[in-house]
Amino acid sequence: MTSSGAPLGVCPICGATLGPRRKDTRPPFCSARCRLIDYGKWLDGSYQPPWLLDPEEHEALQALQDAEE
Amino acid sequence: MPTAPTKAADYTAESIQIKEGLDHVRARPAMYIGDIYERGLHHLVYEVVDNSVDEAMAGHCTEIRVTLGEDGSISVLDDGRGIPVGIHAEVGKPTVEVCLTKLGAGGKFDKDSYKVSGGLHGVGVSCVNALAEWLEVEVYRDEKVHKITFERGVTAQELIVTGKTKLRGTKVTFLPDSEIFKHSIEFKYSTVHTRLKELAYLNAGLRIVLSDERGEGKEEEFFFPEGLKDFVTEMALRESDKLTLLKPIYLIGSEDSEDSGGRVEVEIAIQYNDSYSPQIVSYTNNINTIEGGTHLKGFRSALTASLNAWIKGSEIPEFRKLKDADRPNGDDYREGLVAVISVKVPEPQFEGQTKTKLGNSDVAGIVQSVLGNYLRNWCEQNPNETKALIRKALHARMARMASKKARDQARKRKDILSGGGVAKLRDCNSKEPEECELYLVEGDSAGGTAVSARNPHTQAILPLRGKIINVWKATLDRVLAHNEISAIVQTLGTGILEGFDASRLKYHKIVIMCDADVDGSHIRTLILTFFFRHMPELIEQGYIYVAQPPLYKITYKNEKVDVTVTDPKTGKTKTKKKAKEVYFLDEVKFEEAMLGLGLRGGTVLRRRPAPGEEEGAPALLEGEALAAFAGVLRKVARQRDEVERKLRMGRSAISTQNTLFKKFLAKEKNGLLPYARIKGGKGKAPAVYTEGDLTAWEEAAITAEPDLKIWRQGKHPLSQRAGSDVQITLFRQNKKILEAAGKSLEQVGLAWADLFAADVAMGADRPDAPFQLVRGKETRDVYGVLSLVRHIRELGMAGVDLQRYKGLGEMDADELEETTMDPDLRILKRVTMDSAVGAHELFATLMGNHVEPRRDFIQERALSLKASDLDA
Repeated sequence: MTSSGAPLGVCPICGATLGPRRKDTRPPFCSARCRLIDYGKWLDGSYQPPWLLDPEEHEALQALQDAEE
Repeated sequence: MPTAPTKAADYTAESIQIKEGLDHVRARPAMYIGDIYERGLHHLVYEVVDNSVDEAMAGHCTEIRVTLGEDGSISVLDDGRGIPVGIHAEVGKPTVEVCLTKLGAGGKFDKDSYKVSGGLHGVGVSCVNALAEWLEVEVYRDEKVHKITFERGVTAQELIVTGKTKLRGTKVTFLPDSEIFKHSIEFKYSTVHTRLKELAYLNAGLRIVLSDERGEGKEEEFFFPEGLKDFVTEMALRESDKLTLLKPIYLIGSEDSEDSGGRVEVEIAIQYNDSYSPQIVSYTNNINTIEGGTHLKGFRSALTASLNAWIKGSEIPEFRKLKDADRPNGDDYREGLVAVISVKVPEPQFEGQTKTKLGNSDVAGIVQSVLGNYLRNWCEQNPNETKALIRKALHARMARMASKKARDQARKRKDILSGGGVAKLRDCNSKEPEECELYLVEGDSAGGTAVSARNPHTQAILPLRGKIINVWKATLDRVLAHNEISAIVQTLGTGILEGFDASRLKYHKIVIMCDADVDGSHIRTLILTFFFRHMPELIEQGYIYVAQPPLYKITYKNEKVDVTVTDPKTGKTKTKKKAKEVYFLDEVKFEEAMLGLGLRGGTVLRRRPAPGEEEGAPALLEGEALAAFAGVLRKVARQRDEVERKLRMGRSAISTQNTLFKKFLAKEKNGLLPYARIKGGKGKAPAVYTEGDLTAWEEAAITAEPDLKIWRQGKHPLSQRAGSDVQITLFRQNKKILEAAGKSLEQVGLAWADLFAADVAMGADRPDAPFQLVRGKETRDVYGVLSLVRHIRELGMAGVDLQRYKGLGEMDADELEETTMDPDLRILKRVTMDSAVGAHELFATLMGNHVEPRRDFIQERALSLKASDLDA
């Protein structure tokens, strides 16, 4: 599952390369601040499965699956 | 400004007036210098130094030397013009003596000399004189040294010339009066140091030397040619070593103001660092306006308005789309802001508790217009730095919103703790975390089934909203939004963010239970990513599990097994006969089982007898040989799907026809099998057939376009697929599998063409099907051997019931219990840190904002996403 996506060494919020571990945070976030922002995104529903982000594509995918069966 | 009783001069003798004025200072020192403790004591120094700084501001002085004497005195020497020593016309005494003895005369003895005056809010050096045990002034002027001394404000030695000098300037030395400063008259080096350094910053190019002759003695020099720019840089580096701007924003400007008595000068320096708190200091006439005031107000509104105006006019999509409410506010723009605002106001009005708040209302508008004009140009000329500042502020805004949401949530959590609990949670009875389990179940209906299937003593159920179509809006509702995340956090009991504490976890098994389909895997990836990002300790400690619901159930109608049933009322157990049931978690095992069923009882494959021939031609394949052949065919079928899918990704049409695969096989006849798919780039080469061809293609492409970004599966592990121009996918298994298939076909005397005959004849009841599958009395026509697998499976269907579970919701409570919930029967997979990292990485592709990489990824994986791939 690791062939694409965000490498672990990069903060998913600000894109900063993670430096030495700081007291107030831990990977994958560069800071407590970015961790907080991420949590906010979970709370406001910014993170959604692909079918919500791109419904058109999801339908095509469903059709593909159904056809296979 | 403190009251100064100068009106008394009209009807009293001058000497008496002076005496009375200074007596008043001695009787009420706090009225003039704030207090009689440390702050007041040091005010004396500042008052004297400020007179020298005034001289510097007027352009007559370049250096000030402050010396803390061994005897407890302090002296301030400047190279200014020297206080005039001539006789003051009104008073009939030397001007220097008038300055030192007449209240309100100090500092501004010659109003035209200075536009503005610092001065200790104008109380004058005569106050210092009044509060000094002794004070001595030496004036170096006209090549002579003039000297006058005072004791407690009273002239002790009239002005005399004591010698010759080439120097120019004034030196004031005094010892504070211990009758006034009963607490202490000792000057603090660090306090004087701070103020002098500040003054040096505020007056670019002014050199200030501080030396301490007490004790071991020391000397420091403050000299900042860049003034406020140096100041702001030093301040910014105090909190962090990462500065946002290459060089500070710096401006100086002025506007006339009648209300403030003349020309108001504005000087501002701005820098940003990566800390979160702002550092803003403001000065009026070199006095630190700790309480802020109108200049600060003007600064704030200009900063926010200018940057937001830039956003509004920006062509950049990420900024353009921001609505008014989405733009950063003042607090956001002040995060990490370091600024020094220095204004010079001819007639300042000070307000507030400590008289350190600027009150001149017109100054707000002046600062706003001077800074606003400057920033407008600066933004235009420095678009990249402007963008960086705005992004920083947008981040601040996100954090502000997030922390508000987290606070709201915490407040709700309190209500829940005191009230009923999480609405949808069906908690277990036990309160021992070691034995408690929490099932996070996708979908309300599956949640309901799980509630019936659970052991209520130890198993708690929290349904999470799955994929629901909102019938009213005909749209999909969001999943895992505020309520869901809040419910998880509240149920676990651990708290979140800084408040997180794994030891408060209420369940030592948290089981994520999602449908075994693509959507379910996405929801599971979301949940796992959440745990990885915000509760990694729970994964490290092995508390998180993934349930493994079955995909299929085969019920053997003719085979019975004994099951022990306990009567819930009597507690007695009895044995019952029940049809044998087998569950399958993954597609491969299921298919194997189905093939096995179809091959039971001597199934054979034979050539169909030609017309006229006798029935019962010899078997081509039977028994284990047939099973092995079917196994190879199954792999070929899978590989066909795989190759088709990968090639389809290079085209827009989605089709399930075998045409593409046939084309490959046509190539295969020439000894070639496709090696890789190439998507993107110039020149059409959807597939290449050898490693050599691929390398040659890559080289040619790079030669033609040196900047071409090529992503090649497995070759450059760090290269990013997203954003690459060309993506190369390898068909690694092709060769091996198709070669094996070829061999198997050969062994039984078949050719590639026999594989696909089915497609031609499908559906038509043609008499000339080349093969026959025979089991006992049952025969089936087989047109192409690739469909053999399907036929064998269909033979196996006789005598069994087959149930396919498309989702958890299709299972009843008994089925769910015996497959996924009963601790003795279920299979749980413990989530490792590695698999959680995998979810986190996949998440970015799957749930991110970029449509393209997600499409590629999903299409590439969708069809191969069988149950065996659903590893957490």
